[in-house]
Parts: sequence; C-alpha cells; structure tokens
Amino acid sequence: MAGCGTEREPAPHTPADGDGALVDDVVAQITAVAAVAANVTRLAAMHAAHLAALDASPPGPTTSTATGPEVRAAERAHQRYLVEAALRAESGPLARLLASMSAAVSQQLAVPGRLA
Amino acid sequence: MSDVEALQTTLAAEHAAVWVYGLLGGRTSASATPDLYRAVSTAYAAHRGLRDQLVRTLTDRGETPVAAEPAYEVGGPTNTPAAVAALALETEQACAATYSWLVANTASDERRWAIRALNEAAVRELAFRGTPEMFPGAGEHADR
Repeated sequence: MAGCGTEREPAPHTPADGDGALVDDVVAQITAVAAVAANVTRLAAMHAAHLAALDASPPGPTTSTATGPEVRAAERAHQRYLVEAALRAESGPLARLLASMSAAVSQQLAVPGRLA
Repeated sequence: MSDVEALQTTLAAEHAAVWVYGLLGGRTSASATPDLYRAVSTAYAAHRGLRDQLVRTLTDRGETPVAAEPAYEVGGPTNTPAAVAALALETEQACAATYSWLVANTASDERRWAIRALNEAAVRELAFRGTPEMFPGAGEHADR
C-alpha cells in the first residue's frame, strides 16, 4: 500500500437525468477546444479520448492556425470549464469523469514543451 | 455513503500518504539527487496540508477525524532513487484515485476541494517520472 491506496469500485459514467444538457455542453466545449489544439498530437488524442468517454463522436480532421500561447490559453480556460462542469453535475460518476478530464488537461499544461 | 464518511475515508488515505512520504524523505539525498529530494519534500508538505485541511473540515462539522495508523505497509523497495520515485508515483496515482472517488461522493465545497486535490496530484505525478494520462484517477475510462 502506497498511501491513498484504498481499493474501491470504479464508478461508471452514468449521467443523471438532469445532466443531459450538461453533457451536451461539455461535448460542444471539448469539440471547440479540440479544433484550436488540432495541431498538437498529444492534445488531440486527449480530446478524442474525452469525447469517446462521453459517447460522442471524435472531431473530424482539421488543422489549426492557433499559436502556442493561444492553444495554452484555450486549454487553461478549458480546464477551468471542466472544473465548473464537474461541480454542476448531478451524477457523482459524471462529476468524477469531468474532474478527471480537468486533471488530464492540468497534466498536459504542466508538461514542458511547445503547444503548437 | 455520506459525505462525512467519504471525507473520513479520504483522510485515512491521506494519513497513509503522509507516512509514505515521510519514509521516502528519509531515503532521499538532498546532495545526490536534489531534484528527487525537492519533489519528495514538496509532495510531503502538500499531503500534510491536505491532511490538515481534512482534519479541520471534519472537526468543524463536529466529527472526530480518523487517526493515523502507527505504520503502513509499503508496496515496494525504497533503496534506490528509482525505487523512491516509483513508490512516490504509485502514491500519487493512488491519491488521485481517492480524490476522484471523493468527487463522486460529495458536492459543493467538498467536491471542489476534491477536484483541486485531484488536479494537484495529477501534476505531482509528473515529478516522479509519470506521463500524462487521459483520465487521471479514473483510468477505467481509458479502456473505452
């Protein structure tokens, strides 16, 4: 056991009835930021995985004219959006999924390297 | 599960993390591996802070916070810098799973606290040779 290591059942993503509009909004948000970050392979892969977890289609092939700082700013805003979305979720498992997505974005922003 | 029970479970896990980092700090050299020493020290301070916040939250609610165990079983060796980093990474990943579980079992301020803790643990993973994940703390979604 390495600290914080209590084994628990993972919670599947099962939105509550009231979360339908939130999920639609999150999908639209991820799709939008994915278009901005389309040239950054690691970000594109993350956004595609996040859309798949919400049972949404991956974004179509595209290229972006966004600069590195613009991509970084968009991802920062996206991370904050996901935090607020997790707080709004009625379903605990959906909140957990959205919070995990926000943490994934935080990791990507913390990785050294250019974002364009 | 009530949010108090969820907070108590998280506190129990945080006690373990503090203990593990105390152990790792004693196995890390500030002169030989300064980056690792700094990362372990930073993580130790962070987990102590999180533990204290949980204690305060529970106390403010009139609850008795769970106490730490005298010692904890460590899941691997700690006799090399690589082993220390591996155990620290394992600890952060386990903490991320705990915080994400807390997110699902709380609302409002407690959920916000858990989300922040999850984000911070995910970033700390990178200091211990972790690589970005698609779903920190909720890895089962990566299999979809």
